[in-house]
Amino acid sequence: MFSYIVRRAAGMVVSVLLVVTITFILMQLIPGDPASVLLGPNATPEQIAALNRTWGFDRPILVQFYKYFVNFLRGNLGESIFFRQPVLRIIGQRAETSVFLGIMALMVVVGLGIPAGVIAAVRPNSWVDTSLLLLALAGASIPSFWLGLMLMVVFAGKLHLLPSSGYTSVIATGNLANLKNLILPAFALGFVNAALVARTARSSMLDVLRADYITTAQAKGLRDSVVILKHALRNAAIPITTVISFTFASLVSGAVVTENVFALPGVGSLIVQSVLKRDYPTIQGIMLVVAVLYVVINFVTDLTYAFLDPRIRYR
Amino acid sequence: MLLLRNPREIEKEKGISLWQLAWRRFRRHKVGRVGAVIVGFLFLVLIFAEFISPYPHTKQFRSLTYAPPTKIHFFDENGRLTWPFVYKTARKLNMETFTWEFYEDKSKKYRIKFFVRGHRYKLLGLIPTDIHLFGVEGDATIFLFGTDEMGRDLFSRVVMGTRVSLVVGPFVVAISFPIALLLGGISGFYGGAVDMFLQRFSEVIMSFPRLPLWLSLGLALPKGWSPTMRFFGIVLIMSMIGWAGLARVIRGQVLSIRSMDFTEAARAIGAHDLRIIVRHIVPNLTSYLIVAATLTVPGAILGESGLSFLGIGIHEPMVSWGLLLSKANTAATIQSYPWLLIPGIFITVTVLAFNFLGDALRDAFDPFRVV
Repeated sequence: MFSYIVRRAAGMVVSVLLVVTITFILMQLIPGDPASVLLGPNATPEQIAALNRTWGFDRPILVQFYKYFVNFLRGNLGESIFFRQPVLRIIGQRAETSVFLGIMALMVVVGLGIPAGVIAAVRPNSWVDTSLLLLALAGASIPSFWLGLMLMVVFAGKLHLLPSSGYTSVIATGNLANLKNLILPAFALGFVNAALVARTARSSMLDVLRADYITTAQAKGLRDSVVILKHALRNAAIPITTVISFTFASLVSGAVVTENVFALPGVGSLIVQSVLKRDYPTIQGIMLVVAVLYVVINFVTDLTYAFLDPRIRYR
Repeated sequence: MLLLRNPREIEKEKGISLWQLAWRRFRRHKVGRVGAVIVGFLFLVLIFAEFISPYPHTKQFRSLTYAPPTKIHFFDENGRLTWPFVYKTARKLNMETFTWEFYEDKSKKYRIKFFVRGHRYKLLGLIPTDIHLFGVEGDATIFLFGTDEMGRDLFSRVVMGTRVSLVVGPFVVAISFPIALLLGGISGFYGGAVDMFLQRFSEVIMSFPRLPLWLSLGLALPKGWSPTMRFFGIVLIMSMIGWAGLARVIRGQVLSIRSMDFTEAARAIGAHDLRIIVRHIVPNLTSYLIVAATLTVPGAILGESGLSFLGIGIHEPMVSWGLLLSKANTAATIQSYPWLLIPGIFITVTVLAFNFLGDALRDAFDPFRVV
C-alpha cells in the first residue's frame, strides 16, 4: 500500500507542475494586460509601461515564469486588481460558501443518485426502472441555472418555504440556520449530477447482480437487503466512486452559474465578476486553486480505489 | 457474447451490413424515434425561422414591454366553439400600485390568420416574401410567449434563437472532432513518446473545470468583434477544450483495433500505414464517432446557454436561448414575468432529444448487443 501511495503522490506532483505551467501559458495567451485594466482607458502608454515595469511584466517570459513559480510555491498567487488584496485571501473569504454548497450538492448527488440506481437495477425493465431512467435523462438535460430559477419560483416565490437568494456566513455568525439558503442551490446543482451517478450505479449494479457469488448468497438464504447492500453494492462501488469524483469538475462548473442565479458570495460568482472586470490575477489564481484541488481529489479517489479494491494496490 | 445470441436471430441478420443492421435496430427504438422527430422538427424551425416568427426578433413594441402571453380564445362570449381569435392587448396605469397593468380590449375580436402578410424577409435566404405562418391583422398583436423588457416578441426571439442554440453543437463537433481524430489517432496508432506526451497534455486540459476555463478564454475574444465573429470565437473556445476527452477515447479505440487480427493480417500482407488507417481503422471508428457527435451536441448547447446566461457568451442582436434566459436572472423578475423562463423549456427539450437520439444510436451500433 505504501509504495502505491508514493507512486501516486509522485504522479500528482507532476500533474500540479503541469497545471501551474498551463495556467501561466493561458494567461500569456489572453490579450490585454493588468496594468492597462487597473489604470483605465485614460492612462498614457508611458504610465502603463511604468506600472508593467514595477510588476516585472517587462522581463523575459522565462524570468516571469520563474518568479510566478517561486511565488506559487510560497503560496503567493499575486494581488487582485479590483479588490487590491492578495488573491488567495479573497478566495479564502469566498471559499466557505462554495465549500458548503459543494458538500450539500454532493449529498444530493449521493443521496439521490445511488438509491435511484440501486432500485432501478434491482427491478430492471420494470416501470420503476424505466421511469427512473427517464427522470435521470431529463435531469441530465436541464440547464442547472434554469432548474435553479424554477425552484426559486416554486419554493421561494409561491410556497415561501425557503429563501430565494443570498447567504451569510455560518462560521462568522455561528448560525446554522443560514444553511437553509443553500438548500435550493445545492439541489439545483446536485440534481444534474445525481442523474449521471444513478445511471452508472444502475449499470454497475446490473453487472454485479449477475455474478455467481450473488446467486450463492441468495442460495444461502440471506435476506435480499443484505445481498443487495453488502454483497452487490460494495462490489459495484468502484465505477460509482469514479463517477462521483468526476462530478467534482462538473460541480465547479455548475457552481459558477448556480452561485450567480442565487446571488451567493462564493468562488463561482467571484470568477464571473473577475472575468467581467478583467481582473487577470484573480482569474489566474482561481483557475490554479481549482485545478490543483482537482488533481488532489483525483489522488484521493485513487487511494479510495486501493482501499475499496485490494487488487489495485499490487498493480 | 456472440454465443449468447439466439441462432435464429443471427440467421436473420446474415448478409446485412452494419448500417442496415443499425438502421433496423434504430427504428425499433421508441425513445430514439421520439428524439429524432424532435430534432428534425427543431431543424425545420431553424430553416423556416423568419416564416414562423410573426414579428422581426428585434422589433420593439415600446408600449407593450413585459406584456404577458396573449390569450388565444377558442370560445366566443356565448361559450360556443369558434375560430381562434385574440383581443387587442392594451395597458393602463394602476394609480394605486403605480404599475402598468395589461388587459384585453374586448371591443373587437381579431381572428388568428394563417399565411398572413407581415414584415419582409428572404425565405431560405433567397426568395423575398412577406408571408408568415400565422398572425393577426389590424392593430392587435399576438405574443404567444409574451414580450421582454423592450417589448420584443419572445416567441419570435425563441424561434430565431434556434439559429444559434441548435447550430453551436454541430459547429463544435466540426472543429473538435478532426483535432481529436488526428491527435487521438496518432497517439493510439504510433504510441511511444508522442502518445505519452499527448496523454499527459489532454489529462491536464481535462483537469481544468470547463466553465471557468471557457470564461477566462472568452476574455481573449477582442471586444470589437461583431456578434457573428464572437459566436465563432465561442465555438472555437469550446472546441479547443472539448477535443481532449474525445481524443482519449479515440486513442483507446485505435489501440484496440490496431491489435485486432484483421489489422495484423493486413500488415502481414504488406499494407502500408495509410492503407491500414483508411481501410481498417477509420471504418471501424465511424459508428463510434456518430454516437459521440450526437452526444457532444447537448454539452455544447448547455455550455453556450450557460455562457450567454452569464453575459459572457454571444451578444445582441444575435439571440440564443441562454441569452434570452439571462433576462430572467433575478427572483423579482421571474416572480413578475414568469414567461421569461420559457426558453429554458426549449433548451431542456432539445438537449433531451439529442440525448435520446445519441442513446438510441449507441444501442443501434453496438455489434455485441443481445437483442
